[in-house]
Amino acid sequence: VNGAGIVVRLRNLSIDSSGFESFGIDGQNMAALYIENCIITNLNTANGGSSPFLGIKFEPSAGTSQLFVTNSIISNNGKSGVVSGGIDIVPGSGVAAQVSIDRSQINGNIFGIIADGTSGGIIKGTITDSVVSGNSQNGITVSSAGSSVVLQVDRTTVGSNANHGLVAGGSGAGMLVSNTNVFNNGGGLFTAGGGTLYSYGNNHVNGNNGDDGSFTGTVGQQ
Amino acid sequence: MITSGEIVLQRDGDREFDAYLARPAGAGPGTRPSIIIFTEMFGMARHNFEMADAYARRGFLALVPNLFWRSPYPGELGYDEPDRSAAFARLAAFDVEAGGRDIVTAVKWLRGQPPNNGKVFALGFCAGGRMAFVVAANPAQAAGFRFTYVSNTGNDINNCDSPATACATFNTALGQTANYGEIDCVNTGPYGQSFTITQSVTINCAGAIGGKMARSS
Repeated sequence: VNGAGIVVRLRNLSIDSSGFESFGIDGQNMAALYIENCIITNLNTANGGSSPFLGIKFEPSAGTSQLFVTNSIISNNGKSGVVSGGIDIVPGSGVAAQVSIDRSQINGNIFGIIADGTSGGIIKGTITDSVVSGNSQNGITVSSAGSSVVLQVDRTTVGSNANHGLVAGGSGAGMLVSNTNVFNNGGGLFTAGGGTLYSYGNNHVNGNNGDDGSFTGTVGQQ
Repeated sequence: MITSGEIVLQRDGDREFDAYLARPAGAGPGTRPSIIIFTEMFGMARHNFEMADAYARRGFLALVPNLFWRSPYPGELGYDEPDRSAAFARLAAFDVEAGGRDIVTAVKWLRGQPPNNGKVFALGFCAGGRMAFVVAANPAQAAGFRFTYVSNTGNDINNCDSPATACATFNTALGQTANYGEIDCVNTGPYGQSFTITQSVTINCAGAIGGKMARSS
């Protein structure tokens, strides 16, 4: 998807690469991208395609850009050993990405969801009523040493990911978490480099391979 | 190295809406306007084709549609008698309305081709000059349909504007779809290769749950 100011809605599609393509959907430049009732699967190495293998890459290059993923299944994407998998949000320098992931399943990928400020973009997003499970790396990752990258996670299950469930890396990266279950991951909560994970005090974090981890702090409920 | 030759844009019974297409080498998708060339009343002639080839060598996709394909004699006519009188008679009987629809078909087809950036430049000579104005007189249609359709039994020579005239690929359907229009799937596909969306559009396969856009090779 690549057009300045355009609004694109993809509904009721099954995007199955069978290992030939590297992106299910690649959002490069748009005002808004809606992904509704879609299945995005098998962006992987099965047939020798090239990296990076992502179900959705959202890499807006200009202005403010919105991504809405609703009621969708994103599974079996990615290549072991590279940053790849379900959803990767990497806005360009100075670009603001607004993201909503709602009622979706991000299962069995390499990484589940990544919000990445490496390119200098700002990310504000919500993940609600979703499952991020069985990914072979982290479940949900926020990463930024500079620009602000913040996800609010509510009523979501993060389970059985082989690495950590929730990860915040870098001083610009944070997560606000409520009503969420983090269970049976390789580790529960993990922060590094000044990243922050805040809890609204009503989450369940248990059974994460003896390494539940801890929230950076709590945020009061109004 | 360009590639050029005759293509068929549409069929009506035994008749074919033929055209001469010159395709440039190495033009990336969505990168440049295309060119449509309308012939003199004498019809499809070598010098028209050579002009299309010349534009293709400069990097532009160029199409010479045979607007006389509906006429009893659709071929080239000479400058001398009796051909000259036959050419005048053919032009006098020309159905401008049907010709206008044919031009829209050709323009939309061009817009669906990979190098096209949504713009088509029209030029015509003698009687063909009038046709260039006909293009401009149909801006709504030439801008694309509000709804278009794809089907795995469709054909990209269609105009995609109904399930019965569905196209085969999303790429061609995008070229036929108005800005903020919608492409619907007639069936579950698969629909082949990847494509780039450069306009506002909804792609909806609600009628074809489980449809696949996977590369089929």
